[in-house]
Amino acid sequence: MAETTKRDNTEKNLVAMGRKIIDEVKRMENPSIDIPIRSLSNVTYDQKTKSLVLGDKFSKRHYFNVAHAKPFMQTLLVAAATNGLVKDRLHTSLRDLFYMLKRTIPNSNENTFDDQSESDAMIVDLEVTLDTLREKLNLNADIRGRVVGNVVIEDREDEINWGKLGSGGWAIPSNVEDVQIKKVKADYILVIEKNAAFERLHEDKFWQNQNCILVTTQGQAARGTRRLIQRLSTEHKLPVYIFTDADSYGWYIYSVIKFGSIGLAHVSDRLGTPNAKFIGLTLSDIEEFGLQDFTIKAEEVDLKRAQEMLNYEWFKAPEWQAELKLMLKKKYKAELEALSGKGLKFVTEKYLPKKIKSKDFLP
Amino acid sequence: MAEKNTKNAEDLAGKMREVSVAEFFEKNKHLLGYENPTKSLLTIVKEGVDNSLDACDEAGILPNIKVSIKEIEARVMYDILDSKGNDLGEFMFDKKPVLKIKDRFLKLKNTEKDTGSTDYIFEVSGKEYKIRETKNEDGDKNYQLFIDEERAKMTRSPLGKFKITMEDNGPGVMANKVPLAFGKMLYGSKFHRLRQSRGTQGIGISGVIMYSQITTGKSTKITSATEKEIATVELRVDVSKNSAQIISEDVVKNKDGKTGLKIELEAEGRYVEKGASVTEFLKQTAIANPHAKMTYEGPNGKLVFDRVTNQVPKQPQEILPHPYGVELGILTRMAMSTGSKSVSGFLNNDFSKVGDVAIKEILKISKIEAAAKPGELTHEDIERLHRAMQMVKLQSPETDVLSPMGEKLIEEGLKKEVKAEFFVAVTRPPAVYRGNPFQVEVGIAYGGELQPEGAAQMVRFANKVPLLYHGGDCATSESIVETDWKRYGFNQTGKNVPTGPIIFLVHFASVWVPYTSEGKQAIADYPEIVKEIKLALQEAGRRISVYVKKKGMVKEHQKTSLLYQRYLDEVIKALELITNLDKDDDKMLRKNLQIMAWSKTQEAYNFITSNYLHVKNSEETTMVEHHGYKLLVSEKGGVVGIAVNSTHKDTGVEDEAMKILSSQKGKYKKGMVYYCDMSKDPPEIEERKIW
Repeated sequence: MAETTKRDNTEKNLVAMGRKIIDEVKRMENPSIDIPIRSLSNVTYDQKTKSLVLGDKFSKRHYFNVAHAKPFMQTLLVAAATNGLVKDRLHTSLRDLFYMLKRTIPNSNENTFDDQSESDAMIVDLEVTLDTLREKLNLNADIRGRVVGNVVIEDREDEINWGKLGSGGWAIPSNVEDVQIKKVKADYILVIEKNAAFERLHEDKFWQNQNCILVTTQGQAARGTRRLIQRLSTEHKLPVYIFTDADSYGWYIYSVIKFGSIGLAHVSDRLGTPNAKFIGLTLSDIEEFGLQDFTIKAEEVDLKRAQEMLNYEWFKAPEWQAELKLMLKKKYKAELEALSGKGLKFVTEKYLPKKIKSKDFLP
Repeated sequence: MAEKNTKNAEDLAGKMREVSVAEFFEKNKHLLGYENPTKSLLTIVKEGVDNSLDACDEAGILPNIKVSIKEIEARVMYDILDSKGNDLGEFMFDKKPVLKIKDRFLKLKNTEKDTGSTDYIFEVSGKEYKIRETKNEDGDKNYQLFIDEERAKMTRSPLGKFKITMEDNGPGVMANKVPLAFGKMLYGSKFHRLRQSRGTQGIGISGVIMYSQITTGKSTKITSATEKEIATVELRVDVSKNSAQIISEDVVKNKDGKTGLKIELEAEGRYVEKGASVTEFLKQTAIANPHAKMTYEGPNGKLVFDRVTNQVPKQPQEILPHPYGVELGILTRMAMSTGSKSVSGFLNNDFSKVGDVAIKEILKISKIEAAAKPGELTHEDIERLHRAMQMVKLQSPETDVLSPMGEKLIEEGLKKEVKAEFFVAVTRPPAVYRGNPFQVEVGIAYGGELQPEGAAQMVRFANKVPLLYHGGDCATSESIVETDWKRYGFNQTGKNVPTGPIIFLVHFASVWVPYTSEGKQAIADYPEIVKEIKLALQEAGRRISVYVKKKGMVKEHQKTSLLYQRYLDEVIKALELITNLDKDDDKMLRKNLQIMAWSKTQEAYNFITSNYLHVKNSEETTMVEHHGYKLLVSEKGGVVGIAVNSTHKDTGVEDEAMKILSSQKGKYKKGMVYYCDMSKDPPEIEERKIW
């Protein structure tokens, strides 16, 4: 199976990284690890695949460099720990790994890691360096995101029907690779940024009435949720509509699900859903549905973010340029809740059906 | 005590002839340093030590002073301080044991008796406080404190009666002058002559005797050895006559010619060792008087303050008052007691810098006849005279009459009593305020074992006498907070005392110290004085900043040098786990990484080492490059060295260092390895000679 070879590669790459360091020390050279750069400067937008792709720029992390010494040591600690996990076939969470590695360095008052964000960053570095996925390193990401719909799956030998899980729905695990999608009865997938809006739609039996799958990302989409959306969409040829706040942050959540993110550009092919479409909320909707009374003044950070996004290659579509410019001009934004201003059922009975029927989407 | 108070006291005494001196003393004892039992005990020691130092300095003798304080009938009391010296509470044993922690009285839970000891156990919020009582051979009880079985420090701070003995090697007092000098208050007051002295003329030592007599009813024993004779006198103050009442007197020939004075007395007080205490007073006195040796025996043991210089300080000169600095009251008394027959003679003879032209002008402005008799001037006359004296233009008084401590001795004095790394001192040239010559000196001690956090400590002196109270109201504190210390590398927020391991020493020397109040513990903030203190502080700041900045750089280098070393074990362990290293690879990895870490940080080691060699041996070093390694070469020539982190002993690094150093043999006379312990602050350097 492809699964096995990938894992073997991960292990092989890990050992190779260690051997390279040892060889350098033998030659009395400053030992180093080559890490692909994960920032905008090394990320390009591929028009063809409609996804963000990592470039080939590397940064060298040296041990004998005042600024690098600690990250060098931290990378090796994470590498050694994940190596152990893979060998012993154990899985653990990012948080557990942090606590496995956090300790005070002997004869000092310094910790190996002070904060989970430090070990998380090293894991992504390692993922990119070894050209693997964190799931292959037996690390589980945060669990965030829920789903309901007329779908039957099998997870760890349990058969689960997403339509029979009451008000909560199914919590999407961090690793959905081994989940088998058995039966799907839906016309499209509706991804909602906010939990409250998800619950509104769920309560109104929107997915039953409209024959769709409802997903909430609960903020920025976690890796498991992104992978699940991709799998449902590609394996069952379902269109994906994304529904977020009308502000730069909401729109960026959409772009991450569709194109991938700058930080995880190396796995865009496994996490992105290029055919996803944006259903709302747009600022044009505000005018069209007469929601002016429910807008919020945009803050400095919103405008700054919008300004940045204007320059991103994957926001160059004229519709998006128009939306972003409109935001910079009007200096207001709107949350999903604004739609409730027109009555609680306005979303389910008017707004969404109308949008879907008229195919009023943004690319 | 300084002149101003003496004057007031004398004025008062003059007006209250009928009132007994005892009553006068009782009424004014808060002005004289006896307002509470703690301060009273300190005042007694202070008066004795100040007198002894003055007497020795005047006679040109290197002082050797002994002070002892013994409990006679005192309540058992202990102060409990935490490791930082902060007040934690106290323990008392009156009829039963009482333990107070953080202002809370603890309840006695249990008493456990054992052979030879009794434990009193107190408990509060799960913590156990145990007081262990033991007896020594003399039957004296001793107490120890254990907090959760761990020994905690308590210092005896008894309240009650004490026997105080003070002894010096000064010139002694002639037998026939003993009763006057000790038994008569206000004797020897010479307010119309000005001289830098530790003060306390007239009331100091007789005040001590009076206080002893009031609180214990006992007489005082004086043993005075002059070159010819030794007088042993037991005396009291006859309160109705304000004179000595001799109890016994014995004069014998001084056979070995050793001089000195010994005072033995009993008095009530409270002994403490925190805050303004006898020990703090002696310690500060030792800083300001590095030529004195002082030995102290107190309730908590013995302390010796050694002499660091054999040089007797320069004698301060007596000068006549300058008209600008004379107050009306003093002018009145001077006029009454002058030997001059006329006002013009009085102005000419009793003041400094008043010439013929000035006299004519003063007389003209004040409309007083030149021949008028000073003793017959009316109050109005004197007021006019006083005003006129301030209006005429006069030369400044002579200023070379003072005896500063000097920069070298301030540094030595600080070095002796303070465990800091760097010391600087500044002595300003003399200046004048209101006709009085004065001189400011400043010392700064920095780093080392001083408290690394919190506000800088302040040590203040007036005429070499420590000022222990009212620090906040003093011109010195005002000058410190108004100086911008950030410029010199210190931490300071706004107009506050800078923080960090710093001690400021300020010495104010003058023929007349302008105290803010009768307490005589704070110097008034005359603009001329504040200006001089600030100038001295700024100069000292400039001098210390070189070290402060250097220390900052050493810290940076230290951080770098520790960095690579610190993560090595983690890196090696991780590599072992990833690659299954064999033993040879493991050894190679360790050795090579250590050598690389060392060579990468060589510059840091060298920087640190050369800096501390400079401090330790005053040895200037330069660096020479040799095959990529930096070697230290002493400027004295002939010495080449290499710095190695002391954790590198017996590793590949040491071998490597030896190899490099050995290649220099023949070129230099001496080869050294400097092992630098980077984990210490400041780093410790150990030297090892290779050839």
